[in-house]
Amino acid sequence: MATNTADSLGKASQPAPSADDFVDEMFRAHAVSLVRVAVLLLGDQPSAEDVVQDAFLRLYRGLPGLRDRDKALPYLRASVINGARSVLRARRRALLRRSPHEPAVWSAESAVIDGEARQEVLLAVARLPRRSREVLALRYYLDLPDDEIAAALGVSRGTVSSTAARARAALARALKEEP
Amino acid sequence: MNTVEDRLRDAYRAAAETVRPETVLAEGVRGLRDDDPPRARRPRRWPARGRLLIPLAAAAAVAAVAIGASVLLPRPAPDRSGPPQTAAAGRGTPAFFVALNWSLHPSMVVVNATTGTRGATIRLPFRATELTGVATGDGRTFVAAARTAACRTSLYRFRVSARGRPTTLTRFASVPGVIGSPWDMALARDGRTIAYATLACGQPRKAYLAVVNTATGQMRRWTFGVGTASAGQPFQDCTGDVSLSAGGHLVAFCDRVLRTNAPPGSLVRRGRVVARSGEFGPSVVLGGLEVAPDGKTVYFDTFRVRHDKPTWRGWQLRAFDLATGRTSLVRSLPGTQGTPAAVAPDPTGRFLMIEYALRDGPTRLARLDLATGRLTPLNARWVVDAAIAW
Repeated sequence: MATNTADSLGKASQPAPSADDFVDEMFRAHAVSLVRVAVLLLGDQPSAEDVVQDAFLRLYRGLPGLRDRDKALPYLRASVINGARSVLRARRRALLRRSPHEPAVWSAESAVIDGEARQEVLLAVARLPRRSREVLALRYYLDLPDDEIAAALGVSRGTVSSTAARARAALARALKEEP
Repeated sequence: MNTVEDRLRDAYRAAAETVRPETVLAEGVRGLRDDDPPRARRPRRWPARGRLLIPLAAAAAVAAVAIGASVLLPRPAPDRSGPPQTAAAGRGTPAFFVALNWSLHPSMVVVNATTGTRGATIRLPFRATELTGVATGDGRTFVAAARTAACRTSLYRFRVSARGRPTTLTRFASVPGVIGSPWDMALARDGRTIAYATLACGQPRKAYLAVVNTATGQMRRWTFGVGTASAGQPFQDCTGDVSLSAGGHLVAFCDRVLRTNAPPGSLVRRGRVVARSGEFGPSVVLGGLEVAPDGKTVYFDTFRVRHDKPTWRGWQLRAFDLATGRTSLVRSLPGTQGTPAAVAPDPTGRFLMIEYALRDGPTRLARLDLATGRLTPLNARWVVDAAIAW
């Protein structure tokens, strides 16, 4: 009890870092993993970096309205997901007009992924519906629990579970593996 | 490493490790401080409409030919499912439409056009591997396209009753080539005349615009510009975005319209251009065209781009009057982005179903009454880049 009080007093006595410092700190701690998960959703690093940069700028601008800074990371994840959706929308529009964009890391044009088996998996993932891709990336790359995935995607935990199960089954069929 | 989960984690790790931390962390958050202006992003090229159609290597004029599987439309069965519901918002306006959540679900769903509530799900036939489009001309008879074997598209017909109940899908034709997106197919009011754009197989891949009367088997086909394409990479030219007037006399595609009795041949320098990117501002680009059922007006959306991404500064819906050649602004939705689906008219031509994206949020549906200008949002949070056949 006394320790708790001391901790809370100690925390209260420390001034909160400025918005600049806080966002810098968050960037150093989480930017790489966020860019990586955005790459898994979008397929290329330039687009992924743009999305993550936009997310951090949005966090910076929205920080005064963020009551609990512990919510900053979930906010960033949701922002990256939404940003990736926006990019995918733009690509579909571009696709209608046949505008080229960067080849995905898992495409035949890209040689950055080592191993055909891995490319086979990523290509199979790329053919899944969008929500399935998002759930799989957050669960199997970031290892997030279902409630945090649900918060990032704006869906229920049940939807996360059922989407993940369907996605695994679809992948198993595509890869001829046990689900 | 045998399970799907193990393989997935391994593949994700390999893909993620292509991102080197030093490349991400080197600059911090761009534009965070006044003395740290946003770094210019990698410039990308947004295609101007004027460049969309490249000259053909050879104009492969194709005369009207019969498709292999022409069938007669089944005689419409009397609807015994009870009294029809009140029309969605006007006389003759179907109370339901069919949506294909293209990027989310590989199935179609019947949707109440007044409330946005989802009803019956229409699933793919067993053999079809990928649903690629849905279209209607009268709001009751629908045609769905599905990719089956390599580089062929099967066409299925179904009906939706006035109470929103769909019939089972009946395969009635197979056409060569791939219908690439849900917006590359349209149906006339007679339920028999179909316009679609396909990519043929082989290299270089040829793209065709075709109008088929499925009752007679007569097909008229035109060739788009020829480019190169490879798996996973988009075709370099505009080869789709097809809509059809109710009478089946006028087809819209890319940035132009063409009478369907035009002689077969190359589409290069053919048809009437409706609008071009840049016409409404240096960074304002053209979205998709949608010809009104009466064939007198063509709707299209424009949006502003920055660094190759649509901005939130204004998605605008415009109308081109084919008689006068004048363009007018129909609706502006600041703070939104249009989606690939964007606009779908009802068969009467009075209403447009509009799909747009809110900032940092999912997409939304709204019904626009062209007579009054009233925009009514639907409770359709399920919608994600849906192709809409109304």
